Amino acid sequence: MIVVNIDVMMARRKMSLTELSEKVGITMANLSILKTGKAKAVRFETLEKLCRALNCQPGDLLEYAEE
Amino acid sequence: MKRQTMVALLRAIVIILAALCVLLFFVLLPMEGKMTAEVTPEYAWAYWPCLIFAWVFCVPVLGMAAPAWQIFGTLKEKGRAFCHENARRFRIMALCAWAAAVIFAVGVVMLAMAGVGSGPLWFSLTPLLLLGLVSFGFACYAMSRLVRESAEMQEENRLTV
Repeated sequence: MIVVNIDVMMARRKMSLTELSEKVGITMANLSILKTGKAKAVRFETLEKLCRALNCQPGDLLEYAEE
Repeated sequence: MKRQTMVALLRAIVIILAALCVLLFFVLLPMEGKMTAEVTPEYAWAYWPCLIFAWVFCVPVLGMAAPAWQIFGTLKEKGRAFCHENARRFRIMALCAWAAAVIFAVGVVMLAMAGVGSGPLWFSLTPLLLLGLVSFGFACYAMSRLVRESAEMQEENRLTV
């Protein structure tokens, strides 16, 4: 399964969910879907925005883990 | 046509069809049966078997009304119709239609074996009704698949960030 480490990166950058939501332009509801691992897909566009806002690589946000 | 008006019309159709069914199976048929029994006393014994067959056939036919009513209710709001509940309701309607077809076929054969019934009924109404019910069942089943796939697509779309 793919684990989204968005909360880890947010903690490292000391960024709140509201702040990230404003910077990336994604609703809090969608960010919550990402954070809770309910998302079925992530657009490259969203990933790019997240990487830019958190100053990281896609690999820092996404991780493969055995189920 | 406004959404609310369309739902109201569709629900009115369901009520009218269900009322007609109740009228036919619980008022007209027993009356007709009693009249037939009085005119032809040799077939009087068939009154109750025929009536019970009609009532058993009526159960799945009326059973289609409730899911249809609920499906039409979901049309009130845009995008609400494509849900797993509606897929299940369409599947129930398909099963009801097929059950009605089976009950009708079995009933007709049993009554024919008992020597009750008329030629025009067996050779004109029976194939038409059976074809109609089986086709309606397949249409409902296809709709069930369509709605389920649409619901899955909608869910996937909703969970794409």
